[in-house]
Amino acid sequence: MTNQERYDAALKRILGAVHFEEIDRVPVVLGGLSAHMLHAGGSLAPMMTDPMYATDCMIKTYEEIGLPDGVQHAGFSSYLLSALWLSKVKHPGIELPADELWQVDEKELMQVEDYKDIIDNGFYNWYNRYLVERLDNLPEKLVSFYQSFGKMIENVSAAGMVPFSPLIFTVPFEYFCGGRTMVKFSRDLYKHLDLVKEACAVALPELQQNLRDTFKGYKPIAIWLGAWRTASEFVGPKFWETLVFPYYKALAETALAEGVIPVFHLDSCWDRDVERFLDMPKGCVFSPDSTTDMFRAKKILDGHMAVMGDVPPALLSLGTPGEVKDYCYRIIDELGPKGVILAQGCDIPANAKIENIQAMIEAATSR
Amino acid sequence: MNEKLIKAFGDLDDDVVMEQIKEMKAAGKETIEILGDLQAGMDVVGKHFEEKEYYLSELIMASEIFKEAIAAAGGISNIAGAESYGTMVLGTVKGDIHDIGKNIVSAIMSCNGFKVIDLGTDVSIEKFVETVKTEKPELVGISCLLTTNFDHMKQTVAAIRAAGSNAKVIIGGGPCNESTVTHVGADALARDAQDGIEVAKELLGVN
Repeated sequence: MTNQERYDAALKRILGAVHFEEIDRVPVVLGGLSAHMLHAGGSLAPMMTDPMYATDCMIKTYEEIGLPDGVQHAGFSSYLLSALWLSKVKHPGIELPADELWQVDEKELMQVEDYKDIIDNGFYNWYNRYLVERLDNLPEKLVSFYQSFGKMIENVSAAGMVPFSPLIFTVPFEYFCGGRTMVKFSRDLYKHLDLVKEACAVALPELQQNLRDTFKGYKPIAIWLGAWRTASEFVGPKFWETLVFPYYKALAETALAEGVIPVFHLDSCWDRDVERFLDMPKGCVFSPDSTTDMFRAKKILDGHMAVMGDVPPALLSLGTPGEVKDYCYRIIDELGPKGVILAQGCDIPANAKIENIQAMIEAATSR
Repeated sequence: MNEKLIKAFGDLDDDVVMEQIKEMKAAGKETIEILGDLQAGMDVVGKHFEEKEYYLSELIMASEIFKEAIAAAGGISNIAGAESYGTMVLGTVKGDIHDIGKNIVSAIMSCNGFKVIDLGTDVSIEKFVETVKTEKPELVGISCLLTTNFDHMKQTVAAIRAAGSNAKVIIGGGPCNESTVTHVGADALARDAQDGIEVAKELLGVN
């Protein structure tokens, strides 16, 4: 089988899973590149100067241990996290030792007055100034990554893997929560709710337009709709129903209208609101991080929304290949084959054992 | 008890809480008495949390109100004779700078009758050991958001035990589960800040 034939078969399998079609087996689509960088390159720091480093390490690792059907991201730079969290990040080889994982350094960089700025001048007008002025000219640091993005997609595809969801978008709540800090933003929900609501409402159409504009340059198969602080576990229903759910729904509808699959990347526990995803349009993917009960979610969402996950990161770090396989078989046998994609919960952690990543791939391909 | 203050706290109405404290201070009430009412208000918040009416954003708001209220009441240093279930030395593990969860635990434990010695983030093993030796706490809380720091957590727990401390060690943070407790040799897992209170009380045999 050539790599192109392998890619075609994998893509058919993944799309079949998303759309609840008959497929030969449950596909496996993996995310997270730090363990691969440490395994194949021995360090994380080269990622800061070589935009292809993470991609090269990932491909090398999978060529060694066996290819998954797809990967969630084609490359990585820890500078990207600042653009999503609106926070500074401590990077390996710069503020941290070369082999130590990046960490978001959440400080109050956004003030209450910024909501007014967004309302008066627009989200991206404010956001672009924020990246330059408060995040140390972040756009300049991401130039080489974006210039290499096409090559990352090309190389992953050429290796026979589907670059499934290589772009990340999120809702205003997440940006503001990161920029304000979780404590300050939680307080804003009580003390400045009107401002928060108005700023979110101003940002939404601009975020939707950004999706459409981005897809004109490169249309991915799927995108991540990142959901971290918006988890049901964190946000009370009255805020969740007004500031979280409608925003994800709007972005999902925008992506689907452009022919792109929205993958809800859901950190922390979403058990309370799983049923609400029945009100999302069909054709999305529900991807919890192992905190949400994915087995229950699959029963609720069956036929409406596929699930993707959710091998616990701690199991990949501490478990044995046998334990990992047992968990994967449970997902495959109890939930599959329709509407299921096997994946890690959240990201594969940096200290995941390579044999455990291999066990995930083998569990899917051998079943 | 000031029922109006307790209700306002339970409703997270900080304006009314602050008004009530002002009135109590003007009436000559002692800080410790106000603290009792604030803790009763915090109990109401805790109940709402357990009954899934409140979530983390509400817990954060409650701890913010508590901090401001206690400052307005005269400050924590003025509360002599306040009863405490015990002392907890708390910090994020070496290599981890994520402090949100740890800060919430610190605030919630403090509001619920525990003395918290907060060592901050990226706390070295030596710092944990040194503090445990001098403060002789009943509890140590270690927060960890990254699986890459599980081994640092394991080394910290081992060093605390080797220093002869009998403190019960509670761990928490996004990727931690029961297998992590076993791996690092801790005594218990706290799933969230509110759960931490129950776990701590259970470990100490108090209610």
